[in-house]
Amino acid sequence: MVEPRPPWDDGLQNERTTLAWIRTSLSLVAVGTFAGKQSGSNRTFAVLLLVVVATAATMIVAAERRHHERSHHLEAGRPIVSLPAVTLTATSAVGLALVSAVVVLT
Amino acid sequence: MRERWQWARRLEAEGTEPDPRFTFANERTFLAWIRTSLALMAAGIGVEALVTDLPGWGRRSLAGFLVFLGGLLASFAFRRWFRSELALRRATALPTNQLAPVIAYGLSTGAALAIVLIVIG
Repeated sequence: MVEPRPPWDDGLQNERTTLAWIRTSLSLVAVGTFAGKQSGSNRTFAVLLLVVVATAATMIVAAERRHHERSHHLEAGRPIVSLPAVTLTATSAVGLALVSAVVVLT
Repeated sequence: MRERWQWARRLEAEGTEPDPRFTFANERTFLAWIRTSLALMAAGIGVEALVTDLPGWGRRSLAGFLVFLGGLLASFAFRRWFRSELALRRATALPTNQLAPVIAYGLSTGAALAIVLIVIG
């Protein structure tokens, strides 16, 4: 028996969520860049920039891939929760806070 | 379907899969809190970078406080997301919002600190 599609459009919520992931990745890059610039050391700046851009790029690629997978999962009624992605994001934010704390306190 | 990691599966196995709208909403709420925490970190760095009227120790304590608040919010945001996801799956009440008081009182404290520093600096 085929489940009737819910009255709301699966695609819209999926898209909003993916956009939120992209916005968050970009905010991560912005803050990482600012912290790196403020550190006063070109090497710290370069390393930090590299790390946040690599993280953000990974997050964005993964978000797009999950967006695609989710539309299939939604059709099939499979789970769409993304624990690894959320964990990575929270860890990156806390890590960036620690780096920023060092930058502003020294 | 792509094989996912064992620890990620544990969450999926818990309770029953909620209406996807709630999972999406929970995820977006988490991301919004993370962006808020990042904004606080940026504010802290901004204080360190741009404020010239305050003494060095004053600037650093305000900046450090804001960055600390940002980091605190990020960890709270994860906790809230996880507990909310569990509550959705178990069909129990969502956890009380402990993030809003943290940012509200935190920012008020930060503002008070800034005022004190400006007055005595």
